[in-house]
Amino acid sequence: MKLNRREFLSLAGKSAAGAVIFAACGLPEKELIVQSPVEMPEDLVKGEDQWYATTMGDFPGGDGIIVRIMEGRAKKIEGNPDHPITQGKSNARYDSALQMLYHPDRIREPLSRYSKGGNLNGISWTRAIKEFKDALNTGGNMTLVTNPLRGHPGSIASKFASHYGGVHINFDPIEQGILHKTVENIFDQKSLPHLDIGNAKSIMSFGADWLSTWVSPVQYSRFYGSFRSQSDRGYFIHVDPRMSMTAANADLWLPVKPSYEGDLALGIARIIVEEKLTSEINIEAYKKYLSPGFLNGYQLRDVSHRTGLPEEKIKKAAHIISEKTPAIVFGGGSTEAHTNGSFNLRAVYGLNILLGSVGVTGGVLPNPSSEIDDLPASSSGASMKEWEEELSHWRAGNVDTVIIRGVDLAHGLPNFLGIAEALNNVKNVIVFSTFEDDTTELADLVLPDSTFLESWGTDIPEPAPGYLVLSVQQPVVVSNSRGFADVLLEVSEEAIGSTQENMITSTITTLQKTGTGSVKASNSRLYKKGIQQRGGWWNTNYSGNISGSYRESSKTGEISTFSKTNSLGEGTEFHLIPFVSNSLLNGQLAPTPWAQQNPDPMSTVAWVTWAELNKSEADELNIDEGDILLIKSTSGEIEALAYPHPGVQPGTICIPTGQGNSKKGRYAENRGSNVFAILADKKDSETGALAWAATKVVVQRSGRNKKVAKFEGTVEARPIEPGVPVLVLGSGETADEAITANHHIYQNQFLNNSHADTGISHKDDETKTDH
Amino acid sequence: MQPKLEKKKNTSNNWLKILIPVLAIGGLSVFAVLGAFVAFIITAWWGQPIPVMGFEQTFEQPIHFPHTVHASVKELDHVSTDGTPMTGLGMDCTFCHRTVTTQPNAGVPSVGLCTTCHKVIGSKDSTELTKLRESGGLLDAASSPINWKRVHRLPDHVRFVHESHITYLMQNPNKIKNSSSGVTEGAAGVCSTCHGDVASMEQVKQVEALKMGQCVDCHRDNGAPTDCVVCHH
Repeated sequence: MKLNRREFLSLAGKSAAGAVIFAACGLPEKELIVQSPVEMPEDLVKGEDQWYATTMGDFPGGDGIIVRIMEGRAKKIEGNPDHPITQGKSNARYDSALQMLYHPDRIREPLSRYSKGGNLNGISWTRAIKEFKDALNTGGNMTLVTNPLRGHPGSIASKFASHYGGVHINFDPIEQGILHKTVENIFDQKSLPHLDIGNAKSIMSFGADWLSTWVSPVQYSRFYGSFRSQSDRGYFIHVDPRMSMTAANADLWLPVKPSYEGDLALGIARIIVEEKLTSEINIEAYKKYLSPGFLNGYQLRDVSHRTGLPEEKIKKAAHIISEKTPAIVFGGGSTEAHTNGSFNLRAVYGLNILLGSVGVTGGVLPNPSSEIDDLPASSSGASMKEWEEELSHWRAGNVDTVIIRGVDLAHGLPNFLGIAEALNNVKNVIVFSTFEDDTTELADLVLPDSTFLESWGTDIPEPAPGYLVLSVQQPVVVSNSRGFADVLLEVSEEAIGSTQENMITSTITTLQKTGTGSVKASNSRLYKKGIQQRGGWWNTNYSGNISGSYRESSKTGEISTFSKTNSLGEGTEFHLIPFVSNSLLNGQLAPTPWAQQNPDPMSTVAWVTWAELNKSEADELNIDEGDILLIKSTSGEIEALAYPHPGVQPGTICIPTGQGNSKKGRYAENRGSNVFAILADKKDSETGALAWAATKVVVQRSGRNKKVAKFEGTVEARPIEPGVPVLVLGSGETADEAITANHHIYQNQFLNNSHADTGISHKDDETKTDH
Repeated sequence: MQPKLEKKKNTSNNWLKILIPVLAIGGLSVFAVLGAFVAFIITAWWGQPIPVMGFEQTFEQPIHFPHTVHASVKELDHVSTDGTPMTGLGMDCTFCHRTVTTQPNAGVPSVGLCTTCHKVIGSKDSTELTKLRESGGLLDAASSPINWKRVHRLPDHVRFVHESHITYLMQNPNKIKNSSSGVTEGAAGVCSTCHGDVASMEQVKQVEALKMGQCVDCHRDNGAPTDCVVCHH
């Protein structure tokens, strides 16, 4: 058949078109593929979630949680409904902590620095372990620094340190050492007692932000719910220079002058003793503890003057807590963070003896001392005095190896300690960390630490709920990362134990042999599974003892000392009170965007470091919201955005912790300021703990202004229902006064049917919240 | 002086001589194409389509996984190193396809399941096992998932749930129909209803047409719902 060129071309064109049509009309490649994933999670079933019980390791409280896993990936953390501490409740930090697991900026491999000041280079785990062993085998002194650890991680850390003849020292930037010593002295308790808030009729707390961040907030919030569900709703008094979230929930907030909390407590004690507001037995028990005539120094007039609180309020508080019993009085936080912190806390907790709250339901109840395999049940950071001593050894070059884990030491220690210089004189600085941070900058060997979702562990919650609890932490995702405890075990060549999981299994077997507790099974394999399913072991019958008498050593005989704060001598001085950020804690959660964008409960500010100061004072000093302030102490200077509001004691400036990291991932780096850096060298006179609320600072406007990233004020106040006007308060007005004042304006508006003026009085500009 | 008409006739004849064969061939080829097309449509409509242009019922997989070795109990073609004949392992279908009794999809196993045995079993020289071990990350290569080519696929508008069918047929083995190879026992029997004697397949191929007519017939005979919305929702 003869084809000429034209026919050939047209046939070619048509067949090409046909080929294209037939090829293009196909199913996309991905529809025709069935993929075998590489890893085999034990529950790889599409579309069905699995929940695993574990523990929030490395967070205070030892909360039991459940984690939702889909196709091998962790999706959500909730409270474990079965666990004695959380009972299904949770807080915002559970959600943010999950973001640590899949964070893109996690350290993926061990890093090594060949010389001080050089660059970090990636090395293999084999080589890293070898370097670690070499450092230890030189025989020099060794110090192991960790966050306060309980349970197996704490036990392994201590055993590791003693195996090498070294020291294990804990670090907590917001020290709670005085709290632990006080409860030991007063109640003879090795770990924090169980505060039966749920059954109390009145509560008086000093300084401790217990609904937000103090010690065990989920547990305490749960108790608070029971407290308020009582028929008479309970009466809650909170004492704090700053209106924290806890203070905002109180029925009576006493904005005491910082460091005078002890005075307030003793003033209240004096009122109760003088007016015989409690039984003779209680008064006698209380007086046994004081030197005779001691309370004479705490007359109402003087106490009112010193604390800055009106006399009626102090009397009211005294009457309430003595009438509505059982009453619990407790404290912590900034109350213990002055140079007279020990004195303050002793005065505060002593009130429980006066009120007869020790050992009764609705009062202060004992927790058993841990007898599980010698696992530590209580842990707190070492005092600043001990830290100064330790750092002086480092500076002198006496310590060859320092191992740091779970703390950002360079971020948490104040500038005056010179941590960078100290670490420079240590030959081998080995840091376990999830992110590169200020401390890894000073490290010679960086080992990637696993998160609590990837490793085994145990924790003994502190405070326990009145009986013995062991929370068990298990990996809920398959992961290649190594836990710090397992690395320590490997480096010590199994001298302490083989793996942490094995050590935990043997503890579980010990528990099984007691025949008691929350799990029953026929053999040890099933027993361990039962423990894993419930998230731990607890024995509600295993309680402790508590006495209501003080130890001799804790007699309060001296007259209260004014908190010695440093003074800069010039400019407008403020008393600096740092507070733990509700979302970021001490900076632990700064890398996660969810924590960063979580607004502060009181100010609704997120992402930045702000400084709260009293509104009237700010007006006098011409400071507006958003002004960038230079805050300077004897230790250094930081910047913060001004946030004036009425809920701050005049003369104080309150700055949240957590920001000011030079690294720590893309969401945290170079953001905000680190308030820890500028804390002054002030210590509690008795224990040597850092008086972190005793710094005085000079505040100055820098001249720059930046809009504060906050949620409030983004929506203009408007009536919820038509016809119901919004009540606007002027400065210093109570609601009653405002209603009366605004009443006439509303009357006019409705009678005259005028819509030009919506009836909102713009009496004072400070109440306008839109910008 | 003969007229030159002949020449003209010749040229017109030449033209026709080319045209008619061309038309004939063209027409025949069009008929052939149309015929092929119609045959294709008819076979595809009533059963399995003609295996052309991507409509094959079996194709090469990234790793040549022989169901004969794993699932069959019959004697295998290849022999072991010492000459003794080998028989298949006789593994149950649900050992690997684990979600068939609980989920809509049967699921292929993860590489991890294969390597539980094959990290020690199987020759080091086998090319297929080498590919598997590389996928599983056992040979210092980065682990990677295996993208199998799907053999059995129903259109998107059909929702088929394995679990209920497996359960029913396990409880009523006498209802297993259309078993292509006479295998009726246990899980293998149940699965063979629609998938044929997979245990005998060196390379998995689709033997049943899996058309709606088959589904509805079986549903009707077994008292299962034949409402549209049961499968099309």
